[in-house]
Amino acid sequence: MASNNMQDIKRRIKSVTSTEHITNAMKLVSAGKLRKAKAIFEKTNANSHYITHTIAEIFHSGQDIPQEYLAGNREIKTTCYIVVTSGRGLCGGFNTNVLKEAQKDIDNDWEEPIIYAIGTKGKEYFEKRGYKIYGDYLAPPENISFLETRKMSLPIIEMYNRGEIDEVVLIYTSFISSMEQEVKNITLLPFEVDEETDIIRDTKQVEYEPSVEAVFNYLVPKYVETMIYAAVVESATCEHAARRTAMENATENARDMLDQLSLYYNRARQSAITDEIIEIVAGSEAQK
Amino acid sequence: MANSVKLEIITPSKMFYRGYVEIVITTTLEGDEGFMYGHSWACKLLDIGELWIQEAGAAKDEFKVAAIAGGFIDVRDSIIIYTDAVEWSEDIDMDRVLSEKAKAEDWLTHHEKDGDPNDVIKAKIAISKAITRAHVAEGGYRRKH
Repeated sequence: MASNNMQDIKRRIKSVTSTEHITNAMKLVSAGKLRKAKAIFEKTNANSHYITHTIAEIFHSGQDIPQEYLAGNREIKTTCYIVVTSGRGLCGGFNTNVLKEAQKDIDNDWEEPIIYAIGTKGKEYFEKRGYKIYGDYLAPPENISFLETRKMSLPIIEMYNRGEIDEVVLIYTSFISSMEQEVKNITLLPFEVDEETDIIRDTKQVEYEPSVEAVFNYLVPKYVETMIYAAVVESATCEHAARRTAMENATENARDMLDQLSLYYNRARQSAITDEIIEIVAGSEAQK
Repeated sequence: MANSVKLEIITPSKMFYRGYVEIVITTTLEGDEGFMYGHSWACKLLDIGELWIQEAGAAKDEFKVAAIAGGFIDVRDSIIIYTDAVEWSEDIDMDRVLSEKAKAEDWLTHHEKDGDPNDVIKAKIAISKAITRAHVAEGGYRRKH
């Protein structure tokens, strides 16, 4: 019986060891990918802040902004959610957090939402629940190019202009540090003019060329594209950070488990030996 | 020496240029235009074309030339140019430009009438980008003529 038990424990130790190897390797891979993604993210982050800031500034200083892009000028019925998740699992609560936030928002809406899924996980989730998925992007997010985000955002903006959707919401994970990520929920359109921003309202006359409309018709899609691009890049960074943390925890747990198991194994071995000695002693006693 | 103005050229993936310039000349939708220190505030869309920069302290006819794929320029106390793609003249790969141009032209000769209008426009844009880049690689249209 004892030897049977020992066999079982031995087998478990073997399987946990191989799992530990895998999670440890995945951790190292994620750490490498995180470093790479972080470099791209830091480069784009500075610039996208710049671009969005510039665009916000123009929105704030211009008096003749085409009204259709401003909040409060049409009733919000159908919302388009752009949900940025990852294409692969094993990254802890990364996808769940994004999807939970999205679901919470969707539950608050009366009308059926339109979903644009970036990453397979989000697509699967909404597909299973019978939501209308307008489009998706399923390739690994860290390799996304600006051109591809443009292809995504163009139809969304067209739908907005045609009045098929009244609001565009972007839900993604924002990168705070390698250990900390946060789900963010941003309304891209309509553009909300915040009166109390620190952006100075200048009264200087600004020349628009060819016309105010033309400039805004160019800027609005640009703004959406830039935001989506930045969100995807940021989310990819978060994915790797989340996976690294998850794998680190898994490796640690595996090691704890191995410690426990080897303790049990030694105990079982010791008790088997003790049993054998007792048997021998009892046998020799009987022969006397 | 005239006053210089801070210029920043941004693309989605990187900061292409940051520095003080005497003048920057770009192609807006309504024609070539130069921006110097103290230009009135403006917000203009740019066409595919050449970008000329004279850096602060540079000699009178010393320009840096780049090919730019449209975008917009925001002129305030400093100038910001935002574009999808921009390339210095010395970085342009002529072989690639010519092959892209040939490909677009070839497509256009076969599909101009029956192609998707969007694709036709795209091909035309590709050709005009290629022509611009070819000019820029040779030192710029303005310098040649």
